[in-house]
Amino acid sequence: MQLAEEVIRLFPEYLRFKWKDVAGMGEALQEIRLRCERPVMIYARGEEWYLDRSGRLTREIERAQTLSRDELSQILKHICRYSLYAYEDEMSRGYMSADGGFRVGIAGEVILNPDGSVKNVRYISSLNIRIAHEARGAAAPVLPWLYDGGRLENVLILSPPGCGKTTLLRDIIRMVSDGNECAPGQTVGVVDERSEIAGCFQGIPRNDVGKRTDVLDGCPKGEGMMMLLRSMAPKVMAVDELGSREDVAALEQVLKCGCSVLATVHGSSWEELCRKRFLQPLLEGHVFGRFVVLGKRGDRFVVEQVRDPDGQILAEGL
Amino acid sequence: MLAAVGACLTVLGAAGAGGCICLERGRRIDRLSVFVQAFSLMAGEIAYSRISLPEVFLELGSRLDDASLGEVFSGMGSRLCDGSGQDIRTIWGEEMGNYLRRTELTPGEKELILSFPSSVWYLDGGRQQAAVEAFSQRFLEEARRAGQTQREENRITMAVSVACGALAAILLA
Repeated sequence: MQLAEEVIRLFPEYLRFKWKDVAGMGEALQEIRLRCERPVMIYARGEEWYLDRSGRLTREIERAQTLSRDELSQILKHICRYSLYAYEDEMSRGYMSADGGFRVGIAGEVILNPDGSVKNVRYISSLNIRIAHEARGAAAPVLPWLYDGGRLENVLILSPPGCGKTTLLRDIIRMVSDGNECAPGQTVGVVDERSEIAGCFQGIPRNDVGKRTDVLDGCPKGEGMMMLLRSMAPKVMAVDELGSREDVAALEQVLKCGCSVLATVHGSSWEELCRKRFLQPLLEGHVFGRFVVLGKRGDRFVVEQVRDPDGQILAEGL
Repeated sequence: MLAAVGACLTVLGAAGAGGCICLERGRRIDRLSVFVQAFSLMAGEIAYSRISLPEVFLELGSRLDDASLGEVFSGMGSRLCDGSGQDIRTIWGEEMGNYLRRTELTPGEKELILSFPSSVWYLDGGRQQAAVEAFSQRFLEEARRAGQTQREENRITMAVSVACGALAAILLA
């Protein structure tokens, strides 16, 4: 299905005429931000656009239409197919997965459990629809650098937000799983805590993550990696956005079992990565065989550097 | 002898007519009990499986005793997933409305069934779940009450029809 069609399907029938132009932006579209009684904002190729009353895109905020509470609630009900109860777990983590592999961030009034953890979100006032992009072939230039003698190294992808680390990780997963010029296909286990890698909707990956890939959707990384190890015996384990000591501890367990690891982490530079305390055990132990540092040129992400465990640059500007 | 046979036939005929009326009412109660099954299953699926409404409808499509009502639920589940973007009120109104037109249910009962989408109209998962459970419970009570009323009415109908038959036999004798 075309991206434009998938985007238009996010909206109820009676509102679709307003969203045709937005959906028509296709691959350029990055985010649709809907806020109650505020202008509708569209982000495409790094630029901010607004939607006027007739559904035309404009750069003038004065002409932007504001979104009524009723429209926001109709869109929300439509996205969750009138089944908010089925999305409570996801909503407690601040997002919901929509058909088409899109992730919808939510904000509103938070309801807490007695232990202080988030139970749910009510009076939802903002939605951020993130348009999932598949960049097939994005991993091709970098892939030969990730193998050593036909064996996939443990790889850590590093980039600031919005520079495509999840997109690159997804394509590496696909190519490792399907097989490539460096090695035949391998079983890959993906722990997709935020449903961004595979874009699962009701358990089925909407993005192509390869023929030999098993996805554990919506599961915390630490627990998920152990579950996959026990149940699916992957040769390669992939996780997005390492961010805590618990994630690192689980990763160490995975490495003990002989799996290769593909992981990503937030960071703007190699130097920043070296300062991340929670990663020190992995960095000092030379666990990762390759570091892929991403950056942005215009609206495209580029592989700025591929480094070895000692930090030596192996390749640049791929 | 002939008069006695004629009198018996008249009484039996009247009782038969009464029985037919009771059977007709029985079909309505059977139909209500199918809906009770549907709404109870629905509340159960929502509370325990926590699957989305279209999936619940598709599940009901294969599990309901009444295949024709099952088809209606399957149709609604498919329409909610097909990307047409129609809301649940429209889809329920059209599909269930068509089905209800062919049933013996009373206008009040039909109205109650058609009002189901308002149970899931809340913008809060907890309230949605509670509303569906409350709707299922309310429908169960309505069906129970209708069954009780029907049993009483059947007794009266049979008594009156037999009495009418006997009276007619006496008058004809």
